[in-house]
Amino acid sequence: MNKILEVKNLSISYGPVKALENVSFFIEKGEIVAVIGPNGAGKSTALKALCGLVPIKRGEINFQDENIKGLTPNRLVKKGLCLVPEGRRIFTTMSVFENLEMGAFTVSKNKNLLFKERIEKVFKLFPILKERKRQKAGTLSSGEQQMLAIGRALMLKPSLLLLDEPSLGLSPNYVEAIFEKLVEINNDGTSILIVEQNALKALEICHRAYLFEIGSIALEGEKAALLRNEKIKEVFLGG
Amino acid sequence: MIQQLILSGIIAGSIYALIAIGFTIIYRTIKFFNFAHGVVYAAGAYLAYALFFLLKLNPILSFFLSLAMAALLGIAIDRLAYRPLRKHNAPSLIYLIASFGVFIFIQNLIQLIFGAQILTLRTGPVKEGYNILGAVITNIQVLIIGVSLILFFLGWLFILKTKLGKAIRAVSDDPVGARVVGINSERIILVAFAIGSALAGAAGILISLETNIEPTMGLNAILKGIIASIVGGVGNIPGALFGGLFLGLAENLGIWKIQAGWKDTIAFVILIIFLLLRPSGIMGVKTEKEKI
Ligand SMILES: Nc1ncnc2c1ncn2[C@@H]1O[C@H](COP(=O)(O)OP(=O)(O)OP(=O)(O)O)[C@@H](O)[C@H]1O
Ligand SMILES: [Mg+2]
Repeated sequence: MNKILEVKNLSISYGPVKALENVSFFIEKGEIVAVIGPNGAGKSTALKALCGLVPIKRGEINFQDENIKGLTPNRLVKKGLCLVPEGRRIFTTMSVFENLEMGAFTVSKNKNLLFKERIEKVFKLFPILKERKRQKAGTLSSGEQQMLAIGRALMLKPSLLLLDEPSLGLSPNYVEAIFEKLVEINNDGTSILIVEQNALKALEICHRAYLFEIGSIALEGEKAALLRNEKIKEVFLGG
Repeated sequence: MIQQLILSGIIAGSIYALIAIGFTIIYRTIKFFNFAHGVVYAAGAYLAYALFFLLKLNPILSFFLSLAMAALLGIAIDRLAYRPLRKHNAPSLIYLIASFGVFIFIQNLIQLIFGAQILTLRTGPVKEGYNILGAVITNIQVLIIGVSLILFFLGWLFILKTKLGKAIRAVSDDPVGARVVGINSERIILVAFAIGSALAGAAGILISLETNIEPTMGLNAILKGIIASIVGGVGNIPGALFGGLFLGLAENLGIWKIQAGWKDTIAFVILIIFLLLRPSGIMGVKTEKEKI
């Protein structure tokens, strides 16, 4: 297997605040990789760095064998690296359909054809979005909004999908549904990097995981090994 | 008498609506009250004057060239005054002060170039008008109402239907969401300034077909545009149309029984009433508390 993403010695600061210090991790093609860890560990910061939302102080980021450090979000989404941000960040006064259109904002070649193809795929994955396509996104339930946020990212046909706490604020049923869909998206060939507070769910669907702790990586490994790990059991899985 | 007042109200109202929609489009992306919008309105009138009377261009060409130049002026204002502030994450009060600064600077520039005296875009004597339902309306007035409403609806259509218009709404709804789908909000802000400023310029030109041009004309215009926006709901485009017409009619019908000098007072009373009783405007939605 080869690596779709490789991050080496990444360091990020917000002014004097060090958020990440010398962090290295990778994702292989076709993998689901989970990142878990306490609040303030720097998980979101890592995702934001990958999509060009925060400046990188030091380190290297290779995506599909290309150095992507310092590229703007606009360039990165065109390369197939898409983020479903924390808090969903959908366009609340716009319709579901328009939200998906905005997902494809950067698509310019074969626009209409690709758009049709992709939106059909999103509607197939989330039929509820098709039913609600004329509805204002802000009036959707939290779970539906999360589906829309994922659907919007899929309109860019990412090869690596990044998700920041997709289960945040959702009822258990929706959490279940969203994670099932993530597996489906992964089976379709999209690599996934998911940051989650809900460690149990994340570990359940991932292939490998990283445990972040105040700006660095404390543990990493295959799913089975981590599920057996005493520390993980104690802190995240309730003993 | 009342018919004539209604007509004056509709003329003023459609101009206010045109100022308000441009103001609204810009407001959507930058989220502060851009007072400099008023001076772009004034600049529009002066540009048309210069092109038509000084360079002797054809009136239609003068009109559209002035709109293009007003758009460029709007872009320049954002680039030179506001964008550096955004880079430094300036607090919102600073933007407001900057917009007043730009207003005064350009107003003085206009005065320096054209002088303080009153000019006009009118040519020839005022023609007899047609009689419609008891009101006398001239060709020019038909033109003012018609063109401003057409431009208003074009602006609305742009926001509703085009890709860039939708991107303006996306940036307005959630700048972070816009960034993650690859929308460059700096470019979208420029588009908003271009379109919004062109519409302000158009309003300035249209009103100058009927009234005088003077360097200070922008202040009253932006105040009325803002009042219209607040009445309709700030950021709301149909609200801008409603607010503009409501304000124009209220001002003009209000002076039916009292002196014309009270017009502006009426406008400000309306502003105060709305700020006290319905600050979100007629069509605005109260900002919803975040769902948990
Ligand atoms: N914009 C910012 N300015 C200053 N400090 C920040 C900023 N964003 C994050 N930080 C700090 O960087 C550190 C890492 O934050 P980050 O959001 O990446 O953590 P996280 O692991 O995602 O936490 P959570 O689980 O709460 O989402 C924290 O100490 C946080 O306070
Ligand atoms: Mg986070």
